[in-house]
Amino acid sequence: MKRKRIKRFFQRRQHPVIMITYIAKYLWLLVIPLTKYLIAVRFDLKSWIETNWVDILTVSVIVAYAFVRWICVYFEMEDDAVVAHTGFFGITQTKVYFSEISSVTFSQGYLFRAVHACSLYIDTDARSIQQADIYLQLHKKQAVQIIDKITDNSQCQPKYVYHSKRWEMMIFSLLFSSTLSGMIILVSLIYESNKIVDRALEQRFIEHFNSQIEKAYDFVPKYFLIAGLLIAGSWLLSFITNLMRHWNFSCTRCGDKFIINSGKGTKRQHVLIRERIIYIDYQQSMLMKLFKICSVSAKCTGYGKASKEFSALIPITTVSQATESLKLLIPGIPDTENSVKTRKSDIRRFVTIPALCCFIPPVAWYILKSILPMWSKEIRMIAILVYIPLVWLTMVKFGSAFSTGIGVSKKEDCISFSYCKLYKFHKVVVRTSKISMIRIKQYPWQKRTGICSVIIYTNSEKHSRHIIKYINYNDAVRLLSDNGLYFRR
Amino acid sequence: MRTYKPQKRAMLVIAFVMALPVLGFNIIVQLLQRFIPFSVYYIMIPLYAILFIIVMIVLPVYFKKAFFTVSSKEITIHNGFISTQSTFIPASSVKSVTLVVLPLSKYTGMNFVVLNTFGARAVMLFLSKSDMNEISAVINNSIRNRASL
Repeated sequence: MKRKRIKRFFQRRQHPVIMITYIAKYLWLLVIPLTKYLIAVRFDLKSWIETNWVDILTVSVIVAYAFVRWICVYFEMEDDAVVAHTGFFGITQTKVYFSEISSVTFSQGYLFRAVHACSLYIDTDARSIQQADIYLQLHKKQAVQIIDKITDNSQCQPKYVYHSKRWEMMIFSLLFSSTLSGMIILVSLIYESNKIVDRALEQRFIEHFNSQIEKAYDFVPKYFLIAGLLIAGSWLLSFITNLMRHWNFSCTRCGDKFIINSGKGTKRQHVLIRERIIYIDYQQSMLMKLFKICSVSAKCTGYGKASKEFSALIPITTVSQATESLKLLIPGIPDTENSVKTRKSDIRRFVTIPALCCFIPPVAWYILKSILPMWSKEIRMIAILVYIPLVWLTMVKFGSAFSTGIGVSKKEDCISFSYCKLYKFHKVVVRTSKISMIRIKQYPWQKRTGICSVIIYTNSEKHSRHIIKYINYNDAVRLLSDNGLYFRR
Repeated sequence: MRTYKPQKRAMLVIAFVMALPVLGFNIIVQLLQRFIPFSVYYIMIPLYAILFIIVMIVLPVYFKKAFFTVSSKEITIHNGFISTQSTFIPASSVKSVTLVVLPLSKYTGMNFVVLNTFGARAVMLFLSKSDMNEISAVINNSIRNRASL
């Protein structure tokens, strides 16, 4: 009986590894000198305690606090719900019914795998912006039990599995890696490591880096070398992170759920409830558009939120294959054509602003080189670096003039719209019931030409809006009001 | 479907509230005039020009353009100064309604209705208290009916 009770106690608790995360990070700064001193006094405990009793007491209190918190935080499984007692000493009780769950995310990194631990995120549409409704760090067995219970009614249903090929993942990572995201990872890595290791180590690393830079300074200007290395390094980091995150990607349709598995180092499994998917987004860059390939992402509460990843449904494939696979994954999703489109005469509207921006770098270079002649070479290089993305943007916007539009599928009760946001083309398919708000915006000079911007807000944890620019006002109003998505004047 | 317009009283209140700091600043500048090496008109004229534009052009245009329609099925908000914005919100997507009532709002028209949807938020500005209560009742009824279905 007693054994049974102990077993039950552990079954409802998180993995003991969570205690390490409960312990303050700076504790290590206290533990390391304490250990060093213990070794120095040749394990003479008496003198060690006498000298360091304040530090030892502090460490003991922190560890005891982590232990008490581990005991107080627990979860319970009911027939139709999961109840988590979280927060400080388990004072927050969250009950989530299986019928309300939008997504469940299971994640297991290298370190957690060694101790059979994993993180479990359970999300609902309850507008929890920053965090998941329930976040637990459990033993793998417990997490699998919870996932099995949530997916219980789908287990015996027919399955359709979509597997991504490895070369596809390489291309996907190549296209979706950016210097900026790499830079964010790098900064957060430095920040996190700075919390654990002391500043001296960081200083030594920077000094070493600077000395290496000095050696190469003879051939290339110092600042460009640093910038180049930083850009290339950040991009490479982003590429590797993307590749590791989506390696062995598979999406399984199983009854009314999607089970998405991916990851090389950190293994991830997402369970998405099909009905809760807000919209499907076909994403393309200019190059992808030219080669007729695309990525399909699914917007669903909680999916991709935990690690700010790309919420992929089909990471990358040809447009025709994506359409075919989506028909099998989400039967009933319409392949709607845009019935209201931008016209050829709208090209100039799309292109004018980015084209005008293209003149800024040469003009700035011309002015600055006369003011700062000693920096002429560097200014020219910066001007070229700024000029290239602006020209590319003009080309992208030119392309978007041929693909922007809105279409409605009355039969499937869906609306689809295509637009371009910065360098990326989007085609979004959303059920009309998942639309929060539609706004039509028109400037006085647009009234004369009869064009407007349609802004569609979809259901989302954050404000999620899609701006379809330079659409004919009358056509857009007619289309939307005919389908009950706008009022008739 | 009923149409509501923002209270004109609110326009006068805003104009007054905006004029106060400008007038206060004017008094301070006049007092410190002898310490300032240039004419104070260089500071005050642009400020008065901005105040004039806001009070005489921006606010009247905004209040003339703005109106709201509310029914149990849909809500529309029309506003804008330079651009014209028409917002359509299906009543089914409204999750909750927040009412913002400022002190003396009965006299100032400083009542606001915030419509919270899953993924967006829309605000109806400068309503009279009775209009605000009526709008809130219609939308809350719609939410209640939806819940009882």
